[in-house]
Amino acid sequence: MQIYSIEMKNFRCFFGTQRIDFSTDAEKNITLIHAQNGVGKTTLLNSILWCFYEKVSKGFEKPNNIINEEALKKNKFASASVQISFEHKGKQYDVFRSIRPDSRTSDLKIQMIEDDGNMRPLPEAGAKFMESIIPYDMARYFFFDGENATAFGSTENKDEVSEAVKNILGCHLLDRTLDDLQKVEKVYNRQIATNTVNLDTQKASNEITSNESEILDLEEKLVQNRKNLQYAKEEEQKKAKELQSLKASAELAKRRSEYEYDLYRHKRKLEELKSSETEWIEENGISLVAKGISDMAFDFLEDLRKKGTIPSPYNETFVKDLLEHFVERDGKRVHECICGRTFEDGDEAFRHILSLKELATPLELEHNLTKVKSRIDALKREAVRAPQALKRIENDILEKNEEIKKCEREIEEIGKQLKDNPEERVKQLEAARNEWLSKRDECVRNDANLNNKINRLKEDNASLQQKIDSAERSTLKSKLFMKKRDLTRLIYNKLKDLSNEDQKTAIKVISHKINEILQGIMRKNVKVSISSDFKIDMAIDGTDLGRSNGEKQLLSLAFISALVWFAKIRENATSQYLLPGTIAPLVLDSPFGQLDDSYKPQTANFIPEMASQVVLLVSGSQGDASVMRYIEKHVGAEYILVRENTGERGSKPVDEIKINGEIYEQTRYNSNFNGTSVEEITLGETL
Amino acid sequence: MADSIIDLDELNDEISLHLREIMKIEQRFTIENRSYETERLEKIQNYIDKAVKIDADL
Repeated sequence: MQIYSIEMKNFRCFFGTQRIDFSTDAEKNITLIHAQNGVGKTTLLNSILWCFYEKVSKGFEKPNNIINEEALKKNKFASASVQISFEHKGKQYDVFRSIRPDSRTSDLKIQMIEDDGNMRPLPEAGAKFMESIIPYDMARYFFFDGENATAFGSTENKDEVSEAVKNILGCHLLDRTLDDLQKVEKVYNRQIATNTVNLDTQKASNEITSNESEILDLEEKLVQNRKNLQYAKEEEQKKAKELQSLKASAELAKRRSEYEYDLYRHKRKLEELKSSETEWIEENGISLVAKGISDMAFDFLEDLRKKGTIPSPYNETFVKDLLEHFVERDGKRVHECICGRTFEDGDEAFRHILSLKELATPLELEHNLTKVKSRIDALKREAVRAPQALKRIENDILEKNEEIKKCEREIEEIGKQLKDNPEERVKQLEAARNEWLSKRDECVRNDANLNNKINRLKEDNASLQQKIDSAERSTLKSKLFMKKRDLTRLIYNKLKDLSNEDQKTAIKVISHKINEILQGIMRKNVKVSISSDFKIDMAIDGTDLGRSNGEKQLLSLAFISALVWFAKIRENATSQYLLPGTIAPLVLDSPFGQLDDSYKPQTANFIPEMASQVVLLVSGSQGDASVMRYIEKHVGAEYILVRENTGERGSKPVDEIKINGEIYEQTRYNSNFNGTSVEEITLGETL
Repeated sequence: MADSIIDLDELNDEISLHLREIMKIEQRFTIENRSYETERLEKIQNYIDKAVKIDADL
């Protein structure tokens, strides 16, 4: 990139239109701009950044006040603009950025100058276009605010140096990718944590095995218990039969047997009745619960029926048919009613029939209303019938309970009589029978207990197995997320390694260049090294005993120069994750400000070599003869920024500068405006 | 000098191949001048999910 010209209009301190044509001569590559402090050197530098990127350098005060205040006083609609013409890779461009006082954002216009000299607008270009020529991160080092120049030269410089090396390498994309990969890794870590189950599957599995073995034991016991039950039943039956065969107990024993049979029957019947009761509640409960609601719904529908709303007096299909039935009358197509009367679209009869359509009930709605009404009727009938049926079942249950109690009382009474029977054998048989009955009952209870235990253990095992299955599924998921996390980490590490290697290479190349520059400027034996954490060490004559401000500025200039050179050699780099370098003019603001006098000539000598186009902004003290002597043969264009004052000079000293043997005013009085103007200096013949 | 800066295209190990694909995703967002983080992270995750699945299938 090579800048041809800049035209500033009402930009900050620059009043009206001020123009600078930069030197594009390869031999005389310096454009020298003189200005006292506070007149507009930093503003000029920022006008370039603002035009290209709508940004300004750090420390540029009131960055939002772009429009010149004097211009706004004279015309409240005054706008500010900066127009830069430049060349990049053989093409010429014109970038124009402007801002109006009523707007917070600026307008950008980019045009390409065709070979035939015609301007072709690039409407799609926008801010992205300038980023593609010099990314802003890199531009900061080309359009360099020299007043902050010591930043790179100080001993506590590693953050600035690290940022500069990364920016000049175009690491933005790489840094974002590293950041993204770390975030993705965190997502996977969260998913791993979510899928990690705190279940000791081995312990759970052992518990299942132990439960299974217990179930086997219990099942064996159950089989044995059932044999015992059978045996107890048989023995009890034997004793009962024997009691029936003895004369002294036969009648009582037979009667008891009959009662026992009845008791069995009644109990079965009672079970059946209880089941019927449950079934009935399931089936008919709703009609009782919903009785209130169904009564209300019924009343509502009845009310609508009485009012004649439902069913509707008009059927929708009937009205539709009326409107769609046409006949020919006197060569005209007209509607015909079922009564034979004809009517036409839009006449009174038509509008009347059309209004009926709105009252007519659609067929589907009428059908649904009929269904709802019939369901409500059914519910109301059920609600009347239901309590009677339930009452019947409840009476039957009461009756059965009475019959059961009666049987039990009789059986107990017979038992007592047999127990107290005078016949010894009867007594013995009854006692033995009771004993077997007890055993039988005990077996029945055991049976129930064993079954309960077995079922509980089986349920426990099913639940444990479910937990194990779920844990295994989670473990599989977790393992998968771990794989993803590990792959993300590997990719991150790979990119980090590549980035470190690139930065190491960049540090090596840049520090080599800095040494080359400084050895050309300084008479002392200087050795600069940049550590892997980006700290610049400068050993002079073998020791690093601190740096003077001048040495700091010199080191900064050498560093900037090395960065610009590094960007140039990387112009055609094709790295997939780093931006290529660029060639651009170097704008240096106050580069000699803090230099020791002994370094000024050498630095001045070196400046033309820093870039193919250099714009040098100097104040009176920096542009003294010792500096100018070395650069004057490289100066292709020269300007002075003049402070214009509307007031009288009065007792203020004359502010003039001698350039090329001519005297130039740096401060002008009785001017038409307050602000800064640009004045071109005619170069002498010798230049 | 361009040669001294590492070129991903020259790296053929498996991780570099994955890295190349992820850089393509990131570049696409840059070219389209978009920087929606959620969308970027989602696309990277989709790529990693796919890469791990292919690896598991093999």
